[in-house]
Amino acid sequence: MSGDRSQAYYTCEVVSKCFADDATRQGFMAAYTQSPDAAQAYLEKLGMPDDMAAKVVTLQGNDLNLFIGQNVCDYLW
Amino acid sequence: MRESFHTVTLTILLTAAAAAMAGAQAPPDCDPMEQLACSCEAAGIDPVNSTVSACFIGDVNTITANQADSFTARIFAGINWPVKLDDNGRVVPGVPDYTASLDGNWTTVWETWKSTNHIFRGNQPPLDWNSDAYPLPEACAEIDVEAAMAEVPYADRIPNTMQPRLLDEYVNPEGHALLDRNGVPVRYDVIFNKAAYDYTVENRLWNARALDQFLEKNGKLSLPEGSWIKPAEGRQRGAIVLKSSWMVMDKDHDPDRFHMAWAYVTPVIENGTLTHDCQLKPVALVGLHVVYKTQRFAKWGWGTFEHRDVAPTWNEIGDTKAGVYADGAAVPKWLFFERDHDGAARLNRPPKGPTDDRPSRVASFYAPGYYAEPIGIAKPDCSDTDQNFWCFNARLAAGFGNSPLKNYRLHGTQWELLNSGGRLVPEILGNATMETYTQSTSSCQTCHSYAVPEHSRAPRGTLDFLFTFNRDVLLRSIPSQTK
Repeated sequence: MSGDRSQAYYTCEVVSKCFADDATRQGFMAAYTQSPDAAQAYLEKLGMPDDMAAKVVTLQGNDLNLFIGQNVCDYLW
Repeated sequence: MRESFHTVTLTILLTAAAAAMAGAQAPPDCDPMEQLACSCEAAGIDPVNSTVSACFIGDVNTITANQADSFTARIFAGINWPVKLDDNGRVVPGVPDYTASLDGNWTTVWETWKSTNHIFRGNQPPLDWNSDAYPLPEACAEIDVEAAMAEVPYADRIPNTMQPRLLDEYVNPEGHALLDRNGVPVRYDVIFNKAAYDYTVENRLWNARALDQFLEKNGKLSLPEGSWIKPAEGRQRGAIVLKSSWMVMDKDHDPDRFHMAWAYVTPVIENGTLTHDCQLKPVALVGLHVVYKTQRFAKWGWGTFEHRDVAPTWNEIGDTKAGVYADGAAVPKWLFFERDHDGAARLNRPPKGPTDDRPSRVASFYAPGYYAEPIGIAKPDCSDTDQNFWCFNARLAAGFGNSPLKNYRLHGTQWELLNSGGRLVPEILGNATMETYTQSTSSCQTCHSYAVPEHSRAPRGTLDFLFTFNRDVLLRSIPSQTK
């Protein structure tokens, strides 16, 4: 991964930015209604390295839930 | 030599710049008919807003209520995009004109998809996808089209880009008609997109014997699913099936308020009397079911839209008497409701039959998005990314602000909550122009799960929730309205 930090760190960073600011959360949801490319660009805008963002947008539904849960837990613990 | 090199370089650069300005070349696997993001990028167009765009995703990433409603609204916007016209002004079926302006009335993409009238034709194969002409019943074929159009004062505002659609169905699945103020039944037409059409054609499902054999071999129909990420093989766009409802326009209807089309109406029923075998009429769209199959919506997403003037909700009936809402806005002249209508039917009671001479009186059981938000609260203005339900309709109205399409509203989307034992969100959803008399109990998915070959013990869902394969293929000889 091209970023300086761990996958868990970047996942938490994106999640925390969405929780901290309603406009960011709405923008995140709106990007996910546009296209996978728009969703990837939004993740990168929130600080996720591009190769990780490219991988994350391919995850859907429960796979995405598990990915976020796993990484948030990894970071906190 | 040097000067020549610079000239060539400059020419190449200018050509490249012109190409970039005109929009990038679409990748070879980007089919313009699928209306995916790659087509809008190639055409160099941006979304009008976060709901209205010519392009829409193949599936949601994660299914939630507002992702479902957002997706339905975006599908509506995309499929209502103006269709591409050829040099003769005729439609190119299924292909949007990506750079068209959104002004006035136009032939939409979905109107050029294939009606079940064009697909299920007894033992004859479906009409070719690219054909915009089809055989007419004798009574319709005899009509002088130009003369009939000339009788309509606003004829020049109705697109004349394809053969008028044939509207011969006038009862809903319960066998009831919705009669307008002239006692004229609303008409219905079921329409397949290219993915649904191709699945039907490739598997010969238009033929009763072939359909039986297919079910014997495979157990059930399984129309193609759309996907969030483009699959390694095959198309990304899944099946979309529509049911449209059309009102025959009279001289007092305001043509500026409706998406209009020309249609052969057969037979013509007015105030309880069958007056003509067939007439060419201007018709107005009053309702649209938008039903789509994707990986996330494996039992389909069931979206529905109504014209805003169809009928008042119960709490709008009081405002109707006053003529204005509490905020001073005018109450519309409802299409299927008058407060004190002598001679009209009782509220939300079906007529005895399509030739009952009493107009229907309809109240809507719920407001758009009743399950998504409290009713009656003040609704603040929407930002472009606001995901509240009313914002999807606000953005549809704004994006189609210069067209009658601004008057159509999403009423809701029904879908099955995952890992819930079949719980539906919302449990009740219907359209006042189609499930008129069963709005309080109507559940799209529950009802359609009974789409199985009649007189069989096939399990629910055998026909992939589509009644048309039973009614128009297996029971071809017994149209429901003549039962």
